[in-house]
Amino acid sequence: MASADDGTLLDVRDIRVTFHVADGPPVRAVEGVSFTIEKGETLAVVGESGCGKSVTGLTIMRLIPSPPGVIESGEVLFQGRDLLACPEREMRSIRGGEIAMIFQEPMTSLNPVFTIGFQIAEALHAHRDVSKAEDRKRVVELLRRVQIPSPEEGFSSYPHQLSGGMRQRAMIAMALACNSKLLIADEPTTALDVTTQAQIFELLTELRQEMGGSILLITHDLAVVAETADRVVVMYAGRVVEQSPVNELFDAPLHPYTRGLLESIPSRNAGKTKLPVIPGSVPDAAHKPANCHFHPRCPYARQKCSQQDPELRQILPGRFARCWALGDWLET
Amino acid sequence: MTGWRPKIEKDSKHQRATPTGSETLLEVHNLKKYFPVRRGLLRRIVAHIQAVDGVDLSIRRGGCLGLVGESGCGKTTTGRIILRLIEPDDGQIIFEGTRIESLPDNQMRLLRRKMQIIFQDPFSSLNPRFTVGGIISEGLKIFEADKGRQYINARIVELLRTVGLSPDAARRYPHEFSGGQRQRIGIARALALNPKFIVCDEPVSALDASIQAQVINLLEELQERLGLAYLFIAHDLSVVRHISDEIAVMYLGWIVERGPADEVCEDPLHPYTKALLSAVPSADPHARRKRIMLKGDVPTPVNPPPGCRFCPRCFTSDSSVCPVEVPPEREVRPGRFVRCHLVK
Amino acid sequence: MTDDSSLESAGKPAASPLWETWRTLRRNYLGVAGMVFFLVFLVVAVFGVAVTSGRHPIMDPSHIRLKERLKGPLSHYNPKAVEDEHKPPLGVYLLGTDQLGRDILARMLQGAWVSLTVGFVAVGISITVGVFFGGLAGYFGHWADAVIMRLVDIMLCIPRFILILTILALWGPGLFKIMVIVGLTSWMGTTRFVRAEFLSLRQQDFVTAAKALGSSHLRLIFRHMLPNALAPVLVSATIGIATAILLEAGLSFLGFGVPPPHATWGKILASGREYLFDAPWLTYIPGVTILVVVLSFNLFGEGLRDTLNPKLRQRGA
Repeated sequence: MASADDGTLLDVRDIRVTFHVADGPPVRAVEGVSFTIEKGETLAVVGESGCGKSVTGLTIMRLIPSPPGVIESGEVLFQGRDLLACPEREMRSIRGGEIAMIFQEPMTSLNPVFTIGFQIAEALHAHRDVSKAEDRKRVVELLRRVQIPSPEEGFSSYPHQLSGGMRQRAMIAMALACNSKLLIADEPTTALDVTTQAQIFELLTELRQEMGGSILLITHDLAVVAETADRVVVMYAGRVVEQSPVNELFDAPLHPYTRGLLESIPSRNAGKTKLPVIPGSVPDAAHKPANCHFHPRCPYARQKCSQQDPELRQILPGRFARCWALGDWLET
Repeated sequence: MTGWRPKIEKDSKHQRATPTGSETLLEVHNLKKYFPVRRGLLRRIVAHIQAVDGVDLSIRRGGCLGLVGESGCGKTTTGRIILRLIEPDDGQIIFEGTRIESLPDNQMRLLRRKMQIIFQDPFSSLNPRFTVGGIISEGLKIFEADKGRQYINARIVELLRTVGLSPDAARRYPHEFSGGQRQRIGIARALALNPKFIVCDEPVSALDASIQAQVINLLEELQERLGLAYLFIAHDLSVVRHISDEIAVMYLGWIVERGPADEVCEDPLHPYTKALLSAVPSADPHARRKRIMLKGDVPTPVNPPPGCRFCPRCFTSDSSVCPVEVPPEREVRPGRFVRCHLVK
Repeated sequence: MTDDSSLESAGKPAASPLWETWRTLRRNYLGVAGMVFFLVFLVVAVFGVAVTSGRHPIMDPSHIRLKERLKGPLSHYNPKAVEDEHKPPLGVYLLGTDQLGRDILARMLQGAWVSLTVGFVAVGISITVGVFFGGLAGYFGHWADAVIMRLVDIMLCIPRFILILTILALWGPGLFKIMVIVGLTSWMGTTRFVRAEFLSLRQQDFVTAAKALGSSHLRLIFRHMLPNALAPVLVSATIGIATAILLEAGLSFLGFGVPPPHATWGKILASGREYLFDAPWLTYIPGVTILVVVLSFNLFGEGLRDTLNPKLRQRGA
């Protein structure tokens, strides 16, 4: 789509990822996903479980477990360099360096036998030369920046001694330690309480503005997207079905799936009426409906939808959707 | 069903509580549960987790009370105590005018058909070794085995249809179903004995967005059709507001505010409710706003702060009263109860 | 899988957990090999009883042919030295004879049955005791748990082999005694497994649901919890059988086993010791058999463990 001009930080082009499981059909988790992230932007990838959003994030970091996963094609251009083609050694220095990633459960991404301070210092060392004496000062400074109360104490505590919210802050501090240009946040607050979630997002937004980095936010929660993102990529069953700036998406969703999701949110339904629903359930990744994957659940489905694959095409300026009904509407 | 009467009413030890009007189905007074924390070789009790500390609730017949709070606030424990799945340490539970908090096991068992539970995790809540039919009919086999196999089979089919599943699901195993369908199976199991009251413990929070609305609709439809009363436990205020007619907000074992759902959401009185409402993302990008940010995390309910439990994180607290005096629950407006010194 | 697809799939048979287990196990080649040997051993042991017992067995394991001593495997019998009714089937000593001219094949077959019964009965006893104590400790917790687990600790401190030797020395050897003693001294592992399973099952929502439906304690334990706790028990039982067979062989080797003239693998091994150079088959045949049987049981047990491990199992999407 967008060419690698100066503003583009990450350009994901047509990535395809397949998982081969024993005695079963191959699972095409991601089928040709493309998007770009501009410098200083927060892009949200939103979708339900099994839509391929997490796999997309892991593909960018080249962290797909292989076997069973295979990245079949595509390019991930980070500042013009294809991450999928660069050698593993180089990739290691990019991970946790220029690109950092935080996960849903920070407990699993922190090493339980080392102190938080030690682990953040490690991150500092891995990517640039810092004198040991400077370590403590810098790490404590980082912990203060992510608003860990009593950072001196936080420095010498072990992961299990901190609460979920504090651990997530420590993970963010690690990303800060390496001055990452891109932070991939995969469901960073799903395991946290709402008041803590609000704190974490406030912190992320603040830091982004301060440092000018970009955030790729992967989430299932549309309300979180509305609060934090600049642009939104909606995924369904391994494909991008809609891509829009956040305000436009929530004001006038294009794709029937996006529309259905938004309509079913309780807080957008005043009164005690029945919630509008999308019928059926999310297809099993190994048995997706042919062609438009959404057609069995779509109220606007027509014959064409089950016979031909729709393309992701521009419907309105800056807004893309993958839907026959919208394409036909455009032509008339 | 209609002819069934709990034998306990004749029991002098469990007298009818003070008449509270036929409208009220369930009442809870001053409910307490402290879990001991044991340490060391001799497993000595070193502290207590004050999971539930003096909770008062009431639920109308056919009504829905939403119980909201963050993890560790005691909302799940409260739900389980009401069903006597956890034994309370203190307090009264009055169900249909009968005190049930100290009923002996065998009498409590008879009462269980009137009060059921739906769980959050659609995976761990179904026995993997039972067929769906077996899961749904378990209660029937306990209470209505005398009605015969044919009756039970007919009832399984009826229940599956009620929750929107096809009857042949009965022969299959839980792992063959998706999360939403499993949640429907759990609902069918709860409905099998025609209960009056169901504790819904975060029934939609583990489900995909497009499935949540389906299950909420199903629960509402069942409530209307079968005259069920719900205790709807959740952390998501927007869901709770949609389904409940009353809301109770819990914080560290206390109910800090309760009242009619819309009033609590439109005009929150307790500072914690205000912060909670402000922290909930709104699904409207135009409404991005400056939030009330609470300091720190929810403290653990082991040795909670003296005085008002919310005081250390509160943004309006008065240093002369809040840290020292325990705020009582007060009815500040008709139907609005708040546990805060400063609300007028 | 959509809501509607459940209507479409009306003809599809339900995939039972047993079938799922087999499907996963099938991919574990060593496990399957273990299972095949396990089944072969069962068949051989049963067949062995049929041909070696009774008043006039087809193969008499205790008939002494002094003129046919220490004949090698596959050697023909001497028609002049042996009456017709005591000649080996096919006219060949398939596995040779021992120092008293007894047919090793017949003795091995008789010994297979001994090993099988010792294994199964001893493990049966230990599983019964283990499940009972483990279930009690895990379900009721508190005092029951504390008392039972300390009992387990004490039992684990006693060196089992010495205890068995002492008891057999005091009360004399015997097949039944061995089975009971081995059973009563090996239940601790099962108790620990079952207790741990029960402790985690007690937290599971489906157990809470069953309690909320009004299930009694017994119904909860036997209908809802035990079937879900049996997987590790099955695994430890399979490996336990192997251990019991080894133990019996060891006891027999030391002369504390089943009294003569009954043959067991351990005794054949022990008698072969003196003829290690003249008649090595006397040692190799029982030795290799014990090795193969114990190994196959362990492989089967480990295959089962990998299969029944819920973490390795795919959940339906």
